[in-house]
Amino acid sequence: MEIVSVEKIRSDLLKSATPGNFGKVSRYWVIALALFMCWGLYAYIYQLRNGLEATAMRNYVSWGLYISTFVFFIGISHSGTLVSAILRITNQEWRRPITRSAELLTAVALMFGGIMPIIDMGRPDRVANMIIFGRVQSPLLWDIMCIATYFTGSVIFLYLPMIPDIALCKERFAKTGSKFRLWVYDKLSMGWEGTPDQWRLLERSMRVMTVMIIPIAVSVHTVVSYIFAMTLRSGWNSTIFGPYFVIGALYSGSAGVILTMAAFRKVYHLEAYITPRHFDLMSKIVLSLTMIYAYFNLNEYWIPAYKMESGEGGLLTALFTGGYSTVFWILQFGTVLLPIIMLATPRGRKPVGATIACIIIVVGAWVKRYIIVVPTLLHPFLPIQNVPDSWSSYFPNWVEFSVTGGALAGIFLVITLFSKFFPIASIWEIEEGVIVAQHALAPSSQVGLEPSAHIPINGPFPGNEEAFAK
Amino acid sequence: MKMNRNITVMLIVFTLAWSVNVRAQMGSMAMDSMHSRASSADDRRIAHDASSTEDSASASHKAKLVLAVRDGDSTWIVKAILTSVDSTGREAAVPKATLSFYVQRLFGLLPIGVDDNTAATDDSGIAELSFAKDLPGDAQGNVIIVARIEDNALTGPLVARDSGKWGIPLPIVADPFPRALWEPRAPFPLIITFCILLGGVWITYGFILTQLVNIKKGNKLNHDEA
Repeated sequence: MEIVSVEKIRSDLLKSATPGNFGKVSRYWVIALALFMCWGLYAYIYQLRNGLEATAMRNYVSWGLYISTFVFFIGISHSGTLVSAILRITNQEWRRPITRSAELLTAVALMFGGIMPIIDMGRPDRVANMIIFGRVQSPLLWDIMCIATYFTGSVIFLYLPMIPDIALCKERFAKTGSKFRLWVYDKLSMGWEGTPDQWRLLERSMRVMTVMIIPIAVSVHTVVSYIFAMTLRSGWNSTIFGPYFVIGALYSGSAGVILTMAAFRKVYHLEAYITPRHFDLMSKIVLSLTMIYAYFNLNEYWIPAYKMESGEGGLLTALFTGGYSTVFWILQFGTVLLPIIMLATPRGRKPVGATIACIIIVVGAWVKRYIIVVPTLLHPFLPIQNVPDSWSSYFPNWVEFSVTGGALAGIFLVITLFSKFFPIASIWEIEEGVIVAQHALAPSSQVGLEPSAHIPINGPFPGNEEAFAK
Repeated sequence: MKMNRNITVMLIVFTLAWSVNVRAQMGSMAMDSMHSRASSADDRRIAHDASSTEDSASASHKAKLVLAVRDGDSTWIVKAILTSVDSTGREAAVPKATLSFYVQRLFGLLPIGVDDNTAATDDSGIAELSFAKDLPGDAQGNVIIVARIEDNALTGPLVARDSGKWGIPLPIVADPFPRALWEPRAPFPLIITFCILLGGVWITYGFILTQLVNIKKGNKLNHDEA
C-alpha cells in the first residue's frame, strides 16, 4: 500500500482551489456556462412577460418539463445522503475522497431543483401565498417545508466537514489570495485552529447531522411522490410511489456521484485519490439500486397492467404500444436493463465503463420523470374534448428547454466555481484515512496513534511525522 | 367672543341631535333590512308587517288574510281565511282565490303540501292545506308558514305568515366545519405531527448552530488565555 505524505495530499487537493489557477479551458467553460445561464434567464423573463402561454404547457399538461426536472434534480440530490451519510454511518473508509463531491452535488441540485416549481407557477410572486394561505393538509405545503429543511440540512452537512479545510486554505493562501477570497475563508473557517475542543464539537455536530440527514432526505422524496400519489389520476394513484421515488432518487443520485467523481478525477488529476476501486465499489452500489429500481418498475407497471382498469388502461396502452411506447421501452431496456448488464461485469465497473453506464442512467432517470408526469396529465378520467388540438399533446418548446438548460448550466457553474474556491475532496478526512490505514498496518503500540486521531491543520499529527514522511 | 362660543355650542348640539337622529333612522333601516332578508324579493314590500294577518289596500277594497294552523293527526293543517272589506267597512269572504303555501327557508320559500302547495278558497273564503310534521325548524322547532296570493282581481297580491312550533327542532351546530383533511382547518393530530417533525429537525439545526458558535468561541478563548 502506498502511503503518501500529508504535504502531498494537501498540495494535490488544494491545487484546484489555488488562487490564479484558472486556466484557459476553465475560463471558456465558465463563460460558456454563464452564457447558457443568461440565455435561460432571458427565456424565463420572456415567459414572465408573456405568461405561461409562452411555453407549450396548456390546461391539461400544466406540469411539463419543469416539474419533471424538479423531480429529477431532487432525485440527484439524494447522492449526498447515500454516499456521504450512509457510508459515514457504516464507517466505510473508502468514502473519504468522494464525500465532498456527493455533498456538493446534493446542495447544488437542491438549490436549482427547488426553483423549478416556482418557474412552473408562472407567477413567482404567488409562492408567498403557499406560506401565507398554506393548508397543513396539502402535500404542496409539506413539499415546500421539506425541501427548505433538506436544503438547509444539506448546506450544513456540506459545510461542517469543510471547516478544517477552509482554515487550511486560509493559512495556505494568506499571501496569494485576494482580499475577498481571504475574507470568505476567514468568515467560514469559524476561527478553526484544530484544538481538541474544536474537534470534539465538530465531530459531535457531524455525527448528529449524519444521522439526521438520512430521514430528511427520505422524507423529501417521499413527499415529492405524495404530490403525485395523492392526486386521483391514472398512473399516479399508487401506494408504492413513496419508496419507488426514493429508490429512483438513490439510483440516479448515486449515478450522479460517479459522474462527478469521474469529472473531478479527470479535470483535476485526482487519479491517486479517486481510484478504480472507488468506481468499482460505487458501481456495485449503483448496480444494487438499479436492480431494486427495476423491481419497483415491474410492480409499478405490471400490477395495473394485469387489471387494465379503464382509466389506467388508456395510459398503459399509450405507454406500452401507443405514442410513448418507443421512449418507454428504450427506458426500460436501455436505461435499466443495459446498465445492470454493464455494471455486472468487472470491465463495466472500471472508470470508463461505470461513467458510460451512469450517463445512461442519469439521462434515463430524467426522461423517466417526464414519462411519469406528462402521459398521466394527457390521460385524465374525463376525456379531452372540445379543446384546440394543441392542448391534447405536449412537447416542450424553446422557452422550456432554455430555462431548464439554464438551470442545468447553473448546477455545473456553481460546482465549477466551488471547486475553484474550496478543495473538492475532504483533505483532513483523507489524511485521517491514511492514519487509520497506517494504524491498521502497524499496531498502535508501535506508531503511538489513536484510530480517531486528527491531524491539526498546520502539520502532521504530533509524534507521527515519520509515519507520513515518504 | 361670547357669540362665537354660543355658535360653537349650538353647532355641537345640532351635530349631536343630527347624529342621534341618523342613528335612529339607521337602526330602523337595519330592522327593516333584517325583516326583508327573511322574505323573498316578491313579497319584500309588505314583509315589514310580519304577522299572521295581512291586509291589502286597493282603491275600493281592503283584503285580509288570516292564517291558523291546527294538528291534523299525522300532518299539520294550515287554514287561511281570506276576506275583503269594502269602503263601508263590511267584511266579506273571498271565494275561489288560489293561495300558495310555503315554509320560509334561509334563502327563499319552500313549497309545502302533500301533492300540491296550492289551495283555493271556498265560499266562506277558507282554504286548507296539509303539510308534513317533519319540516326542519329552528333550535326550538319554530317554522314560518307563508301563504301567498300571486294575483287576484279583488285582493291583488297578498302575503301572510305565521310562525309556531310546527317543525322538528334542529339544534344549532356550534362548529359546522369541524377540523378535517378536506376542510379549511386541519385536524389537530396532523398539525401536531407536522410541528413535531419540522420542529425537531429545526431544533437540531439550532443545536448545530450553537456548536458552531462554540467552535468560534473556543478559538477566542484560546487566544484570550494565550
